[in-house]
Amino acid sequence: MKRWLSFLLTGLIALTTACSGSPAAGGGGEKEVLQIGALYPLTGSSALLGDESYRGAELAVKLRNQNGGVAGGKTVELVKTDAPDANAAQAEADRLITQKGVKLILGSYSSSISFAASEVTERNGVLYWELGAVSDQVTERGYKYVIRTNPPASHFSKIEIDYIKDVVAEKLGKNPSDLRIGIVHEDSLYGTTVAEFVKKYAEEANLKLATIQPYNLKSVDLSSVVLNVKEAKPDVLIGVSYLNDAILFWRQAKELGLDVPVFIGTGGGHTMSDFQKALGKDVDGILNVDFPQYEINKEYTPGLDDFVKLYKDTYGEEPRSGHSLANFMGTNVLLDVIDQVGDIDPDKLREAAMNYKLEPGKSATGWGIQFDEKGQNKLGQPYVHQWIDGKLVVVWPKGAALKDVTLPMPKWSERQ
Amino acid sequence: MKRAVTKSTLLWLLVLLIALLIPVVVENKFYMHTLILILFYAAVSGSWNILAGYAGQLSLGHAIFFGLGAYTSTLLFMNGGVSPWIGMCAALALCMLVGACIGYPCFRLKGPFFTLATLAFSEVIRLVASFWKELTNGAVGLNIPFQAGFSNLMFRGKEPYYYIALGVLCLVIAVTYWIDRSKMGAYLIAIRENEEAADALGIPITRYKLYAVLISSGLAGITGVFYAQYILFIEPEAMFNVNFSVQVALISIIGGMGTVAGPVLGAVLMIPLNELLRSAFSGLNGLNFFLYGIVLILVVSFIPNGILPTLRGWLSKKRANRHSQLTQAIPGTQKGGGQVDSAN
Repeated sequence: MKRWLSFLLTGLIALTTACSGSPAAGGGGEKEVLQIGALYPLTGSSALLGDESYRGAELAVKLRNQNGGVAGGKTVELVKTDAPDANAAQAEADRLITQKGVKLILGSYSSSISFAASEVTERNGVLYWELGAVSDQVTERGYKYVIRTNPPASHFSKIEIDYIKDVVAEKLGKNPSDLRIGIVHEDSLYGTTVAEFVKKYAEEANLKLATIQPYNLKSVDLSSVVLNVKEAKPDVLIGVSYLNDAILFWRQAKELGLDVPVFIGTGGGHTMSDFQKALGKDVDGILNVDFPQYEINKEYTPGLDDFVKLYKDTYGEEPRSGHSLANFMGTNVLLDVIDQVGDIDPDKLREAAMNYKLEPGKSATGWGIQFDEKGQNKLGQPYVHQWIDGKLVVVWPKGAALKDVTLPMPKWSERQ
Repeated sequence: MKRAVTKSTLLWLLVLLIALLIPVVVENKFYMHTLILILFYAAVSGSWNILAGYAGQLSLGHAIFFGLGAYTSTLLFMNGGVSPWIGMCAALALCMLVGACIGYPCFRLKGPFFTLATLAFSEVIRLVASFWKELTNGAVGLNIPFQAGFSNLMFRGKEPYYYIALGVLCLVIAVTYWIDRSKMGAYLIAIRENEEAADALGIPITRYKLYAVLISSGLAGITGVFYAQYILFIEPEAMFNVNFSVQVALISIIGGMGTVAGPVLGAVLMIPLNELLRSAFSGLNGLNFFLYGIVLILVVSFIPNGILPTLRGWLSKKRANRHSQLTQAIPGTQKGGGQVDSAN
């Protein structure tokens, strides 16, 4: 019995070793194929949106190859790897660089994965092309070989405060300096980062901070948070939440009768269709600042329709969030840059990227491109959306907006 | 008996020699990374083994000391420019202190209650690290600026990390070996097997449990410093993670708890398996964990004592078989059986 088992175990190990050996061996050889590493969390707690992000990059590459490839007929191949945590990210980055010989890695949805992987790429002189992680620190470290196409977390907070100053104040008929701002945020990396920036920009803009309520994302009761907010009576409440906590907050806000004239979510849970499914009509009126979603002025986002069609053809479902679109747009920029350079050479790619310019309103997300010396794109920005009739519609900035915003939100007592 | 000792010492020296020579042969960075992880996990698991394997105090909170070590040296380095080598000493001292503070009150709890208490402590420390933003930068984590150099414990290549990890592991093994062969080891095992009986024999139970937790937490703290300097990015979620504590425990359980070589064997088997499965099945999300889980289930259900003790038992059984065959074949030599055995 035990001998049988040990044979089985060794067989299993041998099998997996063999499996890992064969794709590695097929690396070099043909010159027409340009390999790019793709590092995303495909298992673990970030798997859903990590996978959604990967799909965007995959589709951009697929589309480009269908249309004749880059640099005179070279095809591009993504080497997909799974990095569920920082440790795995470093292992996989090492593997991509040394086993597969890639000189360019894109990714990665999660900021901790981005941090860890870019430590490895920087030391190896490999270019790290970030498409979705939002922590400001990713580009603030001043690394030479890091470039990011998506806007960082601070831009989310900046847009929220700008929007409150420029639009919300007028809609509510108040002076911006009289507005009382509240913040409700989950206390992990994402919520803390956004909340800190909201605080900073609000103070700079002379807005009054009525209350800041952090909570743990695994909480099963947020009634104390809801009641504290009710007590503070903010005119505008900014929320940073994942999915389950966002749903919980809104259920309890309804039960406890918390009425806020304006609520602005910050991506995460407030974006997802499951949020709408869980709460039904109650989501209508909620504002949300996030990467561009799909209800948007199509003239401002050329290529969006093609992307959605390709997505449906490939995966047989609607895009699950805007993450794929943002990754799609960023990968397209990368492929353009590779096309100009003709090969994957980190130094030349970086130089070409620095000279690459795109005006806003000319890409699938409507983002423009202009990188600063740290490699951060200056012309990408999150948009303000509003849930209208169960759909997340872009309402700001004007060029991208599909509908006009309706403010203030109806009170619970006035809803049907 | 003397013979057996020299034999195992020779084996250890041989393994050490191979380990020292590996970086000369292996140049591939991914393999080096996997090797470093093996050494690192063997060291953490070895430190856990002292408390759980020998003293029988099953802790699922070892991430506390690991994370605390990492944060101590990192904060000293980033705020005061203190070399991580000195940070390592500070981490050692702090982790021993915290280990004593947590261990002393918890030793009154037995069995699963001690385990639950350590779990709770690790969650508390994770929350403290997440909320004490002024000190730890909260959930955002700390990015250690890369400045290569021996005094900074940061290197461009993987080889220096490999040798440092090997050094830490050697320290852990040496301490475990010493405990295993000393009176303390016997005391700890007595406490593990039957606390009342050990007490009746006059073993100062609390004092020896405390010794075990001091050694165990201090060594875990040192591995934490190494990890921080290697990955260069630490955050509360990753450092005080319960999964990490569980993985550390699993490595020892699979290799063989309460043995010197068990954690090493466990790490040598489990870590490459994990890494290989992930890179082999990156196309199919999650299949690697599925297979890893199957292997774990098989090992735990068929070899619950761990691989090393089972292997030893199997070997001695075989030897005993051969011995009995031999003695049966030559009637009248039963008395000489012992000599045949030791010659084998």
